[in-house]
Amino acid sequence: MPPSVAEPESSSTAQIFRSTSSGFPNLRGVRWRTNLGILPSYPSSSIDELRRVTADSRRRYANLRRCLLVSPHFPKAGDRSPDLVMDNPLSQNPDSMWSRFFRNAELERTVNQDLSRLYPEHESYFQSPACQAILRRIILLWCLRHPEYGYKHGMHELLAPLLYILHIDVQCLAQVRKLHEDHFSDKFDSLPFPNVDTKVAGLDELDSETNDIVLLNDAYGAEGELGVISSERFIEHDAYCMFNALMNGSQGVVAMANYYSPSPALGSVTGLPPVVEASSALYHLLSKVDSSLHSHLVELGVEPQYFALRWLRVLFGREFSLEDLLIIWDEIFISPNGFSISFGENDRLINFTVLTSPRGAFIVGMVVSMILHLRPVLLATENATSCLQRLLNFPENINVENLIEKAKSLQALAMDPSITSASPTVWFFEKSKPSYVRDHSMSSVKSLPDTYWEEKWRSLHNAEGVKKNTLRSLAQSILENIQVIESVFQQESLENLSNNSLGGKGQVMAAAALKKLRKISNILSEM
Amino acid sequence: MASGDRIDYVFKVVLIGDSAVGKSQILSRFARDEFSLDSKATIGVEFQTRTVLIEHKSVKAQIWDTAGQERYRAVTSAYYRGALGAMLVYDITKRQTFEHIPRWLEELRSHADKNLVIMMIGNKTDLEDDRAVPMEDAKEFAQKEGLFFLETSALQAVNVEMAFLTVLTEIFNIIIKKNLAADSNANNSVPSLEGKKILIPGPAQIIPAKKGMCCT
Repeated sequence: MPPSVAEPESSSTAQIFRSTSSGFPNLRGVRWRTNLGILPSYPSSSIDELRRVTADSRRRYANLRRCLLVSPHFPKAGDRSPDLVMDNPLSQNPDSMWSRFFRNAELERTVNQDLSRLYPEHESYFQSPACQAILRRIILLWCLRHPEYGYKHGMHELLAPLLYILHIDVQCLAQVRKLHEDHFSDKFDSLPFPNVDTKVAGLDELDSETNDIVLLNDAYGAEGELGVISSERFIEHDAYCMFNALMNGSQGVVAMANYYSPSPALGSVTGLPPVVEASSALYHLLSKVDSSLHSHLVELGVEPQYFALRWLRVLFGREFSLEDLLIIWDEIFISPNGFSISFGENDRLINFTVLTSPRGAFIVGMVVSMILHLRPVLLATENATSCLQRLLNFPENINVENLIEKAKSLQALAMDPSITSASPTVWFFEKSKPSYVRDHSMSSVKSLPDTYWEEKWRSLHNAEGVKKNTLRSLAQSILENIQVIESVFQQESLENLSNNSLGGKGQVMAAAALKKLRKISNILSEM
Repeated sequence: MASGDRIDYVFKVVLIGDSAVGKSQILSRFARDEFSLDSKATIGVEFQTRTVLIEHKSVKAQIWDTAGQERYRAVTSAYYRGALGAMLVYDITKRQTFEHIPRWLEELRSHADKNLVIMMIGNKTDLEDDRAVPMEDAKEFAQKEGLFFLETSALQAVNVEMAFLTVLTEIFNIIIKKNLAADSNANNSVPSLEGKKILIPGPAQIIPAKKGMCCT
């Protein structure tokens, strides 16, 4: 419903799309497991419930591991079936233990190759043999479980941060344990029994968060050790569950595995592979908020999937440092992944599936926010390859908070049904130049067709500071004026080549001056 | 290398071949003269450019590097569009990567321009001890298919420059000839394009591979 989004109270609109933060500010792993739909949310579910769900998910993983990771050399004790006709190394039967083993070995080689190159800047953790073994098993199991996807580069980079934050949680827990040793320890043996002096601190003396952490991680709680929420022993199990939930989307809209698939998703209206469909969704959003940048990129032939493929497949993992990435993922996961209620019965023909959940809309908003961050350099770049080089070498040490803020305002905009249902411009199928090539802004000066969206976006943007906006709009208006003058130049030189009113030399000087102005405009918009 | 800002020609070249044969390393050796032991797997497409001088003209090479896993149709319909050259890479220590070359070639021939200049590259000659593809096999294949061929080592910077310059120069010559032909149809000095393929079997050797004149 457009009117509701058109309201200027941007902060409240954006709030609708974010689930309330689920406790445990210090335990990212618990928060993410809740956001990804693995753990029920606390405190609406009891601590015992959380522990039971955790234990169940770990049992499932342990079973899966037992079933799938076979080595033909060591037949399981119970299952003595020496069917040598089928189970021998030369067997052509695809179901034989040996051919499964060889397939796994091939898969393992590819996975190992990628894992050995994972996060060289965090080598001490990710390259340790223990960590590599866990990562390898999880990837292999997931791929064996989902042969329709197999293994593709990048999957390991979606998994690695999940394992990392579980590891950080365990470390964080160790600190809490040290501080409140009494509550975790059960070594009462050494204590002289009825000692009145011993300070037996009750749990109620702790603040409520620490209290919860103690209860979640008490080895004597529900399900015993298996129910300990942050446990070193079950890091692998938990990481698998998270990875699986992220890949399969937990019945939600964004399922990362789809972005590795070359065929369209089930029930897709566009019939495009999901990653291509999402790419066209982000260009669509870009065209609504910054039509001049959008048409610049389209005119140069910068197809969105060339850069968005990597951005989406590893959820920005290649573009940011791990620390910044975790902050971005916090925001992605906190946005619910369910089909948004703002789409009614009438919105069946939704062309941009990704935009129908707050999470998908945030991801697309993030992409557009990143493109807008590069706006000045992109506008100053005159060929596709150089633009793509810029986009795929995103600047380091940038303020992620700003990018995220912008992404949130774009998220709200992206979820407007009028955007999601718009027919996609399937321009990437055209063999020739796109039909709506920029006509040097002459028309856009006369009638700005997209001002509605541009203004809306700007109003959503007030938080960023009026000064910044003034500078940017100054830059924009300089740029527009330059374009007008340039187009007049071009027309003149085409029409009256013979009796050119501006002399040749004068025109060259004017062109040089324009070039300088363009630079100034770029600098201003960068400020 | 680049002379001022003036660019006379822009050539698009694509790099294809199986996963982990060293495509990105060959590219980073050519574009930045770098080799990184822990470079990550390419996801999707990556891009590099370098400007070189060919017969006093500055030629900007725009090189598109795809992940070996990527079947191009999945991602984009335009990957090969406008490409004038292709580097078809295999790993001399992995027989399978060489055996997949015909498939890549078929993909190139069915989707790219007919006049595409193709260079087959056997990479990782620094691992001579593990060689699994004899140079003779590759030479024979290249000759049969009319491809340029070189063995390279991105690690030791052997023949990488040569491989790219050969392709770029060949594209350059084809374009010059085209222009000449367009300028004056009556000019008899325009050499025929027949037998233009050159086979380069080893480091810095160029042997013309005209019909009936075989290097073996």
